[in-house]
Amino acid sequence: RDDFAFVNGLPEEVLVEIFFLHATVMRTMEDPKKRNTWIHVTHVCRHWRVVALRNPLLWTDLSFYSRLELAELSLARSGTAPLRLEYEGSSSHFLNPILMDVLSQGTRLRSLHLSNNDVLPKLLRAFQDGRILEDLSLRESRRRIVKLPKKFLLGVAPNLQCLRLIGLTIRWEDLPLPSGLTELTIHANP
Amino acid sequence: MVLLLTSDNEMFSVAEDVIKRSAYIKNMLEDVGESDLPIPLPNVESNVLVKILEYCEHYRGEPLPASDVDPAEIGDRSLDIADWDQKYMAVDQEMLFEIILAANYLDIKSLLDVGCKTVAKMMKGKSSEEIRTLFNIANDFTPEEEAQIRKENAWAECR
Repeated sequence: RDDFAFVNGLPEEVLVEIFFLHATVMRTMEDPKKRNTWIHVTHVCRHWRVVALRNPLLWTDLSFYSRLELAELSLARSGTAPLRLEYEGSSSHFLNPILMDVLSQGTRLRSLHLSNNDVLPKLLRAFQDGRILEDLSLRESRRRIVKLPKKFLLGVAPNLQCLRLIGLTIRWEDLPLPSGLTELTIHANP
Repeated sequence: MVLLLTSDNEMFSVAEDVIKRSAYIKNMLEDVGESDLPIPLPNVESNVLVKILEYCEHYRGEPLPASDVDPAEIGDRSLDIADWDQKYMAVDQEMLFEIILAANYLDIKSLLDVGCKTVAKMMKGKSSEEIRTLFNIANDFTPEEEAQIRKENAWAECR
């Protein structure tokens, strides 16, 4: 390592915290092209790359990638850590393969927000285990009829705290409604 | 008053309610009780401690921050830095990283947080080459690693 790079005198946990914060800044940038570029921290030097790649929590938010390859890379680097996913509309349809992959290993999902996804019914059928799910938001605002699968999540999502269902056709008995639920929003088509 | 002895053998006498912003010192005072002996700080030089005490003095009387944020809650982190903190952090890089190291060692969470946010903001919008230049970091990748990185960069920069 470069002796004059004061930043590389920081302990790993502090460097990782800086990477987290940098990723947060970049992911909220207005220009969508910039949102992927937080991964530049892995291209600075070997030390930074090693630190970033061995910290799965840095890679658990799959929401902002504009390329399937990057989302796949992130999923692979996230190890077994809980995941967060937020996909808006048909502009992210190219990410459906990874979405299906993640939903079928739903035990890793902590937060899921999907809106106006063309294959939502298929995705929801694949999602059968929400044991660590805390936050679920599903929205269909294009007048398409999307039914929540029967016994969605087998009716069990013990850690669910926030459930928002907008524009979906539901049956009350199919909802997972654990005692810890603190926010429930159900709307018909807006 | 609490006596502190820095790595370059300078002694400081500090009011207890000022230095208790350091969880490390606070715990030590609670464990050891009152003592005339100085607390050695082998990882902190006097010029850095002066800066740390300036921060603790400024926030004297303010409530201590809440417990750790879960890193998994990355999406919910605020990156705001108060005006006074921004001015306080307007130092050269050597001092900036010394402050962060000392805040980490002394367990002053709010100061560590401000330091990390300051560095993250310095990196905002920069390419890997620009980050290297900013922090004087050498590019030590092998040609094979460079090839993989070029591929990832191409993915990251296209829409």
